[in-house]
Amino acid sequence: MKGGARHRLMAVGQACVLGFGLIVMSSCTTTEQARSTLIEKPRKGNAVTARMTRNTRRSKQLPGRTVGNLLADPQPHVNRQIAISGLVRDAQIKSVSRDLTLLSLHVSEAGASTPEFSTSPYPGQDAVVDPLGQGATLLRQASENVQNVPFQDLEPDPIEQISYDLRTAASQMKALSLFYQAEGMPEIGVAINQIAVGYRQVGEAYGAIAMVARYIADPSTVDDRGNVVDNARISGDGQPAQRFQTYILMAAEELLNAVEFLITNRDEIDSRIRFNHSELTSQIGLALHSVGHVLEAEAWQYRKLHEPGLERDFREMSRVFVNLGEGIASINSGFRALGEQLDIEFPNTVFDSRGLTMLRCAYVGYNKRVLEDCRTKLAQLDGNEPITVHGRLIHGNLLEEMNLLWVKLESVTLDGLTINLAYDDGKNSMHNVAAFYDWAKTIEE
Amino acid sequence: MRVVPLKSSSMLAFPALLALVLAGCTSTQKTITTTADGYMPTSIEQLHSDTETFRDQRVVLEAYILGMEYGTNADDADQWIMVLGLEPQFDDSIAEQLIFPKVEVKVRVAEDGYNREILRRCFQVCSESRRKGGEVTIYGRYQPKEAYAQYHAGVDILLDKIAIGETVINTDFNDHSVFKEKTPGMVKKTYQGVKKITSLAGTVL
Repeated sequence: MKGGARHRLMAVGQACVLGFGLIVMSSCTTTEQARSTLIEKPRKGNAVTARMTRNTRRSKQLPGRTVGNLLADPQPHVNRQIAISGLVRDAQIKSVSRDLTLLSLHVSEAGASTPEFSTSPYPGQDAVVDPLGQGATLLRQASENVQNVPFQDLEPDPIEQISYDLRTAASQMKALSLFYQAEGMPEIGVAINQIAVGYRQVGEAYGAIAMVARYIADPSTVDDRGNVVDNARISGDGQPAQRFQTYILMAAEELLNAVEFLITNRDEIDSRIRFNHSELTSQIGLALHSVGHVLEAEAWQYRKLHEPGLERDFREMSRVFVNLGEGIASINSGFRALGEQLDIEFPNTVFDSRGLTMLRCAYVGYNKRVLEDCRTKLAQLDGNEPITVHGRLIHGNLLEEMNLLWVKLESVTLDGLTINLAYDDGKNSMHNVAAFYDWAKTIEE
Repeated sequence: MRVVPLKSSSMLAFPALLALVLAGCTSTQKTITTTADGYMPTSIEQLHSDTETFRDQRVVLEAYILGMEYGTNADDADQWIMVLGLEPQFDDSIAEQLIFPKVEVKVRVAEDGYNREILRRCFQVCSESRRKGGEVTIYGRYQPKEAYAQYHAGVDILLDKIAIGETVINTDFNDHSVFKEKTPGMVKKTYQGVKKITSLAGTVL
């Protein structure tokens, strides 16, 4: 290409891009200005503005209309606005695509017995397991004031026994990991292997606790140099030791239950097992790990004070808690990876309201924050408080599922608070522009 | 001939009617006192029993904090919502809730803004007050039927200031608009984006 032509082409290209940029900028500025004019209204200096919302209407609830009689004869209400009260049986959030989120509820008639759904946040799935149960929390409680626990008052035998159970569980998990890999599910196998690593570390930590309890220096014994070892932590109060022992034994039982559940349902992983994996965090693992370093600091202090017996105990217990922290973190991340993988490989089936005593209600939007807020608030109900859903009864498709009976939600009222689900739900084109801008930002990288 | 008496009687009747109307007005109108800064003293029970009297008025009331929620809203401003009741609530496990179906008489109070430092300070002071079971004094506009953020209804008062013990905090202090918060960044981003794409187009060509 000749220089002049190239320059002309570049100039045209630049003009086009600049024009596009100006269009984007002007549209953004217009929106912002529109918002700002609302801000300046005498309301007050609050920053909440009228957001982009779909038109929503709150229909009045007709007396005598219940979930039961609506489901018995839905046809007159199809494609009409309805408002109906009932008990929320489950509320779940699911990512449909990168930006799009589904909020899904099941609403049953007040007083209706629906035990099969009341425990499951995954409608359509038979069983849900809270992978760690209270295990990690109990370990966290055991770690509180661990410096004051007289380790010589612990009973080593039950702790040692359960350490073997935990190591057994680790081997079983390893076997399960290889089983799934052999079955052609390598991602699930890798996640379970991570769980196995965590169980082994926790088992070793328990073994170390038993060892400390068994071989801790007796205050009347002498050390290698013939000096009487004075254990300053001897106390007549057996409570801290008992409490510590109770917590760690209970925690181990909870952890073992999770393994038993996985093994029992080995062949039904595609249907029965579901994890609420988004709620698994690494916080407790980090907290336990932190306690390990606190104990290590104490060990250095005892060395400074020339107390070798106490230094050794604290150093051992420091390793115990570092192992516990790493082990719990590994188990947690393994279960999270497993939960994510199960959702990918075996997605939830969408439940149709027809033939059930529950009404399926859903909203699909780009406003994940609002939908999550709604789910959080629904979770704050104890299950016996009615909610009112407002929306349109649809006999049609919901995402990939076709020909369903469901309510296309517009708002939900609970405890006097009405949540507009369309709030801040932008349009697809806006998200495309944002995605284009994100792409542009990465060009140089 | 018949017009004159009619005229005179209507002229007599008008002042009487006016007097009656005025008398009626004064007798039905409630005498509502306000504080020096224009707030109507009230209580949660009064707001529930006499909603219309206080609607769209600036009110001041004392109450206990049941739960609070602190986060950011869709404009990335900090948003703080409290639930106030008649009795203190000491259960820490529900300190971050806004849903209290078992408490019938309560109000929800909201504040938001880009004055994050002030709002976080208020939140901390209020958390402490809740933990101790202390009362807080709320000053704000009562607008129970108006939408607030994603809530069509259920957020009753928009906060102006709050008093905890001797401390009184203006919760709107140093706040500014979304436009002021976001526009400089938006212009800068657009300029950078256009510059990048222009230079990329130049490189390709």
